[in-house]
Amino acid sequence: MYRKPVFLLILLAAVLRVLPLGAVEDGILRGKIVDSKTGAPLVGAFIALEDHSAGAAADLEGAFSLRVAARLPVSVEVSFIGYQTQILSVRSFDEPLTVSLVEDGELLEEVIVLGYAKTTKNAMTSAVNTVQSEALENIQSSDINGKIQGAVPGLLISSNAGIPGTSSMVRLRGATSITAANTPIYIVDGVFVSTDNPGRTDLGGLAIDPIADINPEDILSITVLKDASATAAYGARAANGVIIINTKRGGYNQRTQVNFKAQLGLSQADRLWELVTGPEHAEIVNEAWRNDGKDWAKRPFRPKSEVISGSPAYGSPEEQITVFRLPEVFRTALQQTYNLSVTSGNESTSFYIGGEYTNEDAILKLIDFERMSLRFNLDHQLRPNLKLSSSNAVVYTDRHLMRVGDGPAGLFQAALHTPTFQPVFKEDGSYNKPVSFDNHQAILDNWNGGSNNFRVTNSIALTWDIAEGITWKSSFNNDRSIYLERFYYNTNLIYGQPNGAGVEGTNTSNVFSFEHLLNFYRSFSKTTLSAFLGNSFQETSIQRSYMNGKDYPSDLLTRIVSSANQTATSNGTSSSLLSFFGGANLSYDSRYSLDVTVRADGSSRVGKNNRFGYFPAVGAAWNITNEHFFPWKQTFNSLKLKASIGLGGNENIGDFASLALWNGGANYDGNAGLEPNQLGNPDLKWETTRQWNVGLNATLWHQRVDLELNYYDKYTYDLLLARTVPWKTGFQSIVDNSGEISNRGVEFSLSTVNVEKKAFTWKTTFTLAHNENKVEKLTTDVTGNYTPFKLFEGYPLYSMWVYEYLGVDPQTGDAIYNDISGDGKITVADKKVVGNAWPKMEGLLRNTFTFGPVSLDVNFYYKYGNKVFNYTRMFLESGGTRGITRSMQKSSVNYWKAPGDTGVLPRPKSTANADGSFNYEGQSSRVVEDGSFIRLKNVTLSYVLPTVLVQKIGLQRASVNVTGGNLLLLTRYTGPDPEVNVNRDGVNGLVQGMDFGMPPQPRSFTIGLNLTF
Amino acid sequence: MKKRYIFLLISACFAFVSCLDQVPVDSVPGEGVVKDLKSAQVALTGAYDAAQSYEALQVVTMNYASDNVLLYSAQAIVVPQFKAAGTAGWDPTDGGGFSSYYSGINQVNTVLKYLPGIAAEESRKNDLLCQAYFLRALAYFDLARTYGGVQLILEPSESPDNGKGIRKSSYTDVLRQVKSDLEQAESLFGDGLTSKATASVWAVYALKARVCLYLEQWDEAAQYASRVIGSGKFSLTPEITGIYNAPLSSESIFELVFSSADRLPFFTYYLPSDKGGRLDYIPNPDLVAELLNPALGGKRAQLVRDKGDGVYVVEEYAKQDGSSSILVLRLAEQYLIRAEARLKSATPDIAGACADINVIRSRAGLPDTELTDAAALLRLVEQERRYELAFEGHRFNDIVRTGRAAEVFGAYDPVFKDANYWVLPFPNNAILADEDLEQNPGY
Repeated sequence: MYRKPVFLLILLAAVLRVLPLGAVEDGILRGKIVDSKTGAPLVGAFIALEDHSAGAAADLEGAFSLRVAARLPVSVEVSFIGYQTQILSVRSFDEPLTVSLVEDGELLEEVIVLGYAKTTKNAMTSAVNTVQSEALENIQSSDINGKIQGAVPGLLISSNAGIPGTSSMVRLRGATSITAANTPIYIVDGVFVSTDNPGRTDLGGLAIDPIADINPEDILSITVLKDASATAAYGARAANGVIIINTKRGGYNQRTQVNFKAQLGLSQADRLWELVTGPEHAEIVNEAWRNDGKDWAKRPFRPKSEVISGSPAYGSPEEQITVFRLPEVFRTALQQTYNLSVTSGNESTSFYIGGEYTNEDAILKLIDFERMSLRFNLDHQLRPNLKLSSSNAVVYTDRHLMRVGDGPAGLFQAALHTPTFQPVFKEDGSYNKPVSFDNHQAILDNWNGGSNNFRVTNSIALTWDIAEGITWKSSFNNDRSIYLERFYYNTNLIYGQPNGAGVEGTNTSNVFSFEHLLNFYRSFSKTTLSAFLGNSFQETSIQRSYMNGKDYPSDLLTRIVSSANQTATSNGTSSSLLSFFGGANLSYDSRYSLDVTVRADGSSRVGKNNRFGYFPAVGAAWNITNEHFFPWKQTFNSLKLKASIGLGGNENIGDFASLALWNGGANYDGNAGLEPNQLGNPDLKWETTRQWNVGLNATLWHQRVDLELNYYDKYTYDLLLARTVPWKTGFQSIVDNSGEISNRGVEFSLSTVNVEKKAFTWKTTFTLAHNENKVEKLTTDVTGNYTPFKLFEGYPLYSMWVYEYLGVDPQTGDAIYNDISGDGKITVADKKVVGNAWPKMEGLLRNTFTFGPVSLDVNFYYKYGNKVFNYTRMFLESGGTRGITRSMQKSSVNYWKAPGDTGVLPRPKSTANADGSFNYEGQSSRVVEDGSFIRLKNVTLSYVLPTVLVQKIGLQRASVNVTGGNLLLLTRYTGPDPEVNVNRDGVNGLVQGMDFGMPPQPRSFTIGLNLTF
Repeated sequence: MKKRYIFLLISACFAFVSCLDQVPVDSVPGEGVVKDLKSAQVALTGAYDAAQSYEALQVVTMNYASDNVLLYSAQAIVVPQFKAAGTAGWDPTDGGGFSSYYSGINQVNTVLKYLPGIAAEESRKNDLLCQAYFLRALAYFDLARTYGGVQLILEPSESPDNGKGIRKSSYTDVLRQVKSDLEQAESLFGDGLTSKATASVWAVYALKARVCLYLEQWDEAAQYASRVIGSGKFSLTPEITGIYNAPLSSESIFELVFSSADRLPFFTYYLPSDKGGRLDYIPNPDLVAELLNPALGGKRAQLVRDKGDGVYVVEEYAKQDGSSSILVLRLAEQYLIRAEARLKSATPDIAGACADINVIRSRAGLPDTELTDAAALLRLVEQERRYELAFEGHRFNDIVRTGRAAEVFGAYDPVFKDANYWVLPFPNNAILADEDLEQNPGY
């Protein structure tokens, strides 16, 4: 495997050769580049001759001097990030030139492409957020989900664990589905990229995230389409929202620019679990033994001399040793990222090349994430009216993987849950494995497993300007990946018993699509009409093959070829989608705007009787500032009211869910057999989400304040639901369209420029989102893979259904549960919904301060009002009921000891109380905790080196920065991190908000260097 | 040029509507799946595969409900009421395996419905039919001894409405249906014994003996047990370890076989982690003490093994590659069935019963019993069954059907004194899914 970013060096060498060298001096052009509004100097803005034969950057005062080796008049180009590029004609060297650049944000009337439509910011009727690359810059994360967390109100991103390259929970405006996916669709440069976890080896709650294949440094902008008017053009896949990612491209007639960026960081777990000592463990277990009324002579912790056949003695409590294993499995992790990109363009061709190498260790040993990516984006004008564009990414990721959460063979579980009184090694020096967990040291010494993924994403498009305002675009897109995972378990590991075992698997995923799009855009005096018409076809197929080997001659031989017993399996699935879509936008006098969109989608997944679905939407906007009667034109740059309503679909079910099928593989005694797999449903169709949105957009005081407020109401019906059927049929469920879910919410974002002076600027962004989710109709109850997660009509998804714990009876020391049914017994009828995983509020507060060349970016992320089912604590705070088999956390020692004790845990006991309840009932609200938190997600301090200095060494711009990640976490949650979430339900994702042995988010420090040539 | 593009658009729109028909490569349509002898055989193989699942769950569930096996992490006899709420932590039995039985029954029902209509050689058809009847009998028998009365479904499910309105039959009616399926099988089977890994007429007799014992039809139970014992086709292995050391021993009448490619998951339940297991269950230390007592367990001490720290583990399912068998019917049980039936018969045969008991004791290296009193001998049969069939899922029902549950299990937990807890609850989700299914009383 390639460990060195060799290709980056090659790229660098190639680029240095083509850098422009000196020219003959003819004259010197001097001047200043400033902001058009404030007059503040634009440090680092660039002025160049139009042919790029010479260029200069503005210094701290905004001043520049450019040597011009050409005859006057000459055209110069002035550019700066976030500003419109200007081209001026210079007629004389005598007068200093002052160039005022206009900020990009003011381009309300600029034509932009939003999905399939051409529109202007002014004419937009929909709820859309765009995050530009600059906003991603300072946030330390190797994947885009980590970078945009909190930045888009309504887009909830919860990290599942502090492990790089693994999936997050992503929900836009709540969740609309129970069994079909709730993840938005991601479109990168027009390519619908796969978000399916390619891995098949159970990692105990971790899932491989295909979105981590995207290098965030390549990204120019991320646009999130939220309401029906914006998403309707994506039809049957639109219900969960659409995330459009555009990558960087070169500009025509642009001087070659080389950018190098390096980051180096260290991360560490901030807080971990505190466990009991060996003697404390023994005392609690003996106490439970006593309270259970068991034979005291047989108690587990008694002198070893008291031998009783069949009942082992572990020694008296005070003899117990204490071993804390957790510090052994965590580490200070190193992360490094190097990016090198080149953009350039002449009059007919432009390109972007970006190369990256990232290597990030997880704080949990044995896990890391490595990514090498190369992106090449090309635009070429074949003829004045015919353009060829191509976007291509080749990514290779390499991961060392280890089972993390659920499951006794996992490193983290072994270290956390093996009782502390147990030694690591037996007396004979072999690994001690006294309970169901593997030995953490054995895992550290012998683990061998990981995966790699090779992914190619291409898009090639031809754009033809047929006539003024009419364009035709045909594109062919392709997203292919080959994922390979390999695990070898030698004889020292549980899975390797008795003579070693290995598994190697390949997952090949292939998404192919083409699209034809006709666009019309024309203004007639005050009226502008924009329209589009399109057609697309997409085919997705996944092929898997797995090999297993058992019984190896030696621990040194790790590949399946050496094993004595080999088995293999392969399978595959495919789906296709055929679509027709169109839309129109009519805007009048920059005051009124009306949008109509419709899409028809035919899918192979749904039943024969319902092949095609139709998804229309309408939207309208009114820009009040442009009305004659509007009184505060000085204050408001714009004030827009907008509303939309429409339908979106979700077809993300099994590829053949509508068919009655028997499966192979039901083998017996070496003979092949078939077994019934599912009942058929030819009427199966999409889930449909009706959504309306009303919103307000305002920019005030010369765009120093920008606020957006949206209210939405989504109602999803025809839910694709595994409706339970009587089990006597031999089936437990059939997929059909039943059930309804609603989501209602408010989103608010506010960006302000608080101070904008020459030497000091201060900008603030605040976002807030609130969503109310509710299951409106459910024909039968649905339970997640973990019983506390159950769906009920009238309650939100991700509700936690447990016994309500009322505390400890101070007289008896036994737990009291709420006897809802009032029958004196604690039975299933007494379980209730005590909370859910949805935050009441979520968002970020980000402040950016710039003092000349120094800037400081402080970003807080917060979540309020969500519950976490602390399953880890349920195991660790078990009051001796798990005997010698599992460790306990320190809080366990604080149990009821004498009448009158309050504020304590129940007395250790595993037998039932008189009312049938258990003191250490696992499914109890005792372990349902408030998961609210405020996290100082990152603080970045950066410094732009003086231009005069960097120019001496041939650079255009140089900056250094220091980032601290997760420096502060304010929470009442008792576990190390409330933002951990086990991924245990696959695509259904009914189990959310469960902390089940996942490593916490690390604290990190990163230093970075950014050079522009 | 314009024309060419328009042509492209039109062709793209219409050429691909047909591409919306994707064909699964790993499944076949359910309709007409049993259409000839070969496909019937394949479906029946699938039914054995289903039997592997539900019999595994039967053994785990019943071991776990009895006082022979403890859930290691809880160090306690698992009271069935735990399961209704799912609070016993991880429960591999899926609430006793309820859904697995019915998926096996649905499969067998498909064979029983379509096989008779197939034109094929009668004897080959009959052979498949009787195996199907036997498997249905086995599934309903084990359902009844797990849950008491259950719903009797005898038609395949081709829509979710199959069996609508069918409520629970009584425990006795379910056993009668089992007996009737066995009689069907009996009438069609030849008396050959091609493989002990599939059902034979001998397996039918042996299961019938057990069903009659449960139905308290003593003479019939003894009669069918005698047919098996007297057939000369089966003999006790010299050592008890012989029953599980290799598959298909001389003692085996019907067993579900597994291999390293088709694994029985018991090794993960019963083996400690250094042997690749999870040690979910351990033998009850009380039972271990008795097995280790030379006067009680005798050589049956070999059924358990000290894992090195004084904790004993089950040996019967110790093959680490998952190739241990589930011993559904074996000869030793037939001796013990006959002994019990002879003692309980209207005309007790004390000497015959003693002879049967002594066959079992003698293999365990124990002296012949000196007891002569029928009541004392019945208690001895119970004890021999506990040791001899320790981990094969019999103990719970042996105590329940003889009316001793309050006394024996009640000593571990007073909850067991309540007769409601002598059957398991249906999984809560099964109740919610079926308006015709009522939860067992007390749950």
